[in-house]
Amino acid sequence: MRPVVSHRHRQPDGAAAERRTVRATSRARRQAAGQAWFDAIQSFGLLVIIVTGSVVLGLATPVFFTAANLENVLYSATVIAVVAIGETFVILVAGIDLSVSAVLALSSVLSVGLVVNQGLPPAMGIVAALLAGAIIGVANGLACTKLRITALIVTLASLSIARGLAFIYSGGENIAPVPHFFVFAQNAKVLGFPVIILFTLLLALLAHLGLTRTRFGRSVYATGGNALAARLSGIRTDRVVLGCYAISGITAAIGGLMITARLEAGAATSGEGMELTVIAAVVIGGTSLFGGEGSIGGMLLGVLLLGLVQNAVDLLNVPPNYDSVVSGFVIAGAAALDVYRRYYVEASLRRRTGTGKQASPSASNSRALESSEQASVLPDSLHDQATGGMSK
Amino acid sequence: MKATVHHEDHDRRVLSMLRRRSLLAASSAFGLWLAGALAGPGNTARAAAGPAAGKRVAYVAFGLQFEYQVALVNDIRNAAKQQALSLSIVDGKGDPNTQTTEMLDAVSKRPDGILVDPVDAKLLIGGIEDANRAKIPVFVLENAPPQGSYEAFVTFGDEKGGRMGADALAKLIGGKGYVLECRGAIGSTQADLRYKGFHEEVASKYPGMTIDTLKCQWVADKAYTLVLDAFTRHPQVAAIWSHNDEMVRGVVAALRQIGRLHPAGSAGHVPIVGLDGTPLALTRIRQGIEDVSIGQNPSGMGSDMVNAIVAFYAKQPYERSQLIEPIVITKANVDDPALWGNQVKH
Repeated sequence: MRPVVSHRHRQPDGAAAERRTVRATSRARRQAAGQAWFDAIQSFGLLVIIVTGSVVLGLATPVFFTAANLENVLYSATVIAVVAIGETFVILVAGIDLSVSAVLALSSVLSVGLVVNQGLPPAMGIVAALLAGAIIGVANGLACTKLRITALIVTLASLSIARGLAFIYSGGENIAPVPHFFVFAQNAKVLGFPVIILFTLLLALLAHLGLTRTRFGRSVYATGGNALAARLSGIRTDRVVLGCYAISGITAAIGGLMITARLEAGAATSGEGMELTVIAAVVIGGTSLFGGEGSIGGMLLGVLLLGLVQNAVDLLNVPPNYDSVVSGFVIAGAAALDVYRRYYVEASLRRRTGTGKQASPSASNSRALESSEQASVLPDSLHDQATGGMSK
Repeated sequence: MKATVHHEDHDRRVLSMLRRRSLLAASSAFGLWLAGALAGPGNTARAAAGPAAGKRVAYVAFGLQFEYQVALVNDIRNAAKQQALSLSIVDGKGDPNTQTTEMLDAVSKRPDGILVDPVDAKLLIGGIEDANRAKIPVFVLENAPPQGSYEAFVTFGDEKGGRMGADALAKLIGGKGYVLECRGAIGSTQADLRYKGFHEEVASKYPGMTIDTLKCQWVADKAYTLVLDAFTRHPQVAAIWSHNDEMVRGVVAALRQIGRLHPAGSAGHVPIVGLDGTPLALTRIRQGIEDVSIGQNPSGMGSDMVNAIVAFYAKQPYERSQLIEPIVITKANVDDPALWGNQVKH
């Protein structure tokens, strides 16, 4: 009886299950399609803001859409964009690099000073500046990974040290004249397009390919997304973090060379306070401060948005001091959009993978822990305790 | 701007200082040795003769991030050395907050005097009044605090510098046209006075000039971006006035980028007038890129201040408030070896 009953019962149950499956599948398809559409809108959200803003700006002031103005905006954004490339790597591994502006200044004084004061050939000055950036980057990385000091404190210290060294070396004076190469590079054009802008785009492209097409790039996302899981799956997370800080040091040094070429002197005051603009650009561009999420393309849009805000404020003649308020609101708006996106995407991801209901407090706890820096400073045994052995 | 000097107060202060010093002298040899060691290397000059010899003066500088300030600090250090003053210098970093802390630290060290160059004099009133309460004589450079008393004040004619900038600019463009002004930091006394002098002079003498003020905050890179956008907004810029020569670096970069950088005398030249007379400004004047710099005189300011300090300790009469006059630097006098920009070596 029981089998029959169960069979009879199973029949309609099976049909219902099938119907449910079909419904679920079509719902999933609809959801997936909706999600893909939404994802596209969200990833291009910043682009939409930029385009809309540009159109409004173009209507408000006719000079906005002139080639000269757009070139100016891009030109002005190049230094921040290059420095932000390295910062993106660091933030992707859930770190932060506050020292970039100081490394930029040190690079600026070394690249000119070694030529003017010590009589080195210009190429050596440039190499030394890049080397200085790399050394500070590696030192930052080592302090974060080996000494387990919080990135914020490590790079705050190196910010102070590098800025101090720049002032000591230059004696607080601008060093000039810059080698001819700097002036040449700043003004060079290829097919009417400034080389500096092309160079910035080339660096961004290399960084993008490095992040998306190489093992190192995947390790960066894995380390930032879940350091413990990455370690357990065989990624040497310490090396990855170290590499990211070194890249940040080098790109900051390149930024230093670029600002030196632009302003034609090695100056220890270069880029003061720039680190916050750079971090803002990276985060506005969709890179999560908790790591593991973000892209170079998004960062470029973030840099562009900040550049356009400044441009808008200038062209519309926003009175002094009001401009800061306007810029602040735009930054806050962009960041809010990002948070909204994150919540939506995370929620829909949970729905899609069906982990929404199963996700236990300990699981979400472990996710929160692992994605924060605290996780990386916890010994493995403590990790296991904190995550309730879930990661095993 | 006038120093509030109370002679009786001053006498009491000197007496109290003498009492304090005699107590110090009566203390152990170790105490003396420690005091000497704390005074730093300049103390070795104590053997030199002179009324101010060996006096310990704490110098809270404006900030060693500015070329002019670096020159000023060096000149004061040299002048103090000649008078065997023991000077300990701390860097105010252009930040009123840092300066306040440094001022309190200086007071707690009980030096014979405090020399201060306030970034924002209003914000340093507390620190200066603390020194007053501790009976430590205060000497002020550049920005006079509206409250609290001090023994000597030497400043640069910032307002007059602004007026001279307006006159020099008007001469270059025939007294009319659209002028960009690169403004120093909001809240900085120097910037406020240069702004005031420039605007008042233009308003009273050159009605044909229109001023577009850009908030460049003393920074070259900000000047670069703001000048670029200002030219996009209004391409018919007749000339540019900058509150300091550092920002002119950004102005030049912007002009070069938009193809408007032509040396003086050639068609399309955009005249530039800066202020400070930095080494780079002198180079630019020689190249014809910058037309005029309203020059400061750090060595004059330094020696006037040190002379006043020495006279104070020697109880000799001296000018309590002195003004350093700005000078106009053009291609005609740019090679004058007396200009501070020609004395600084890279």
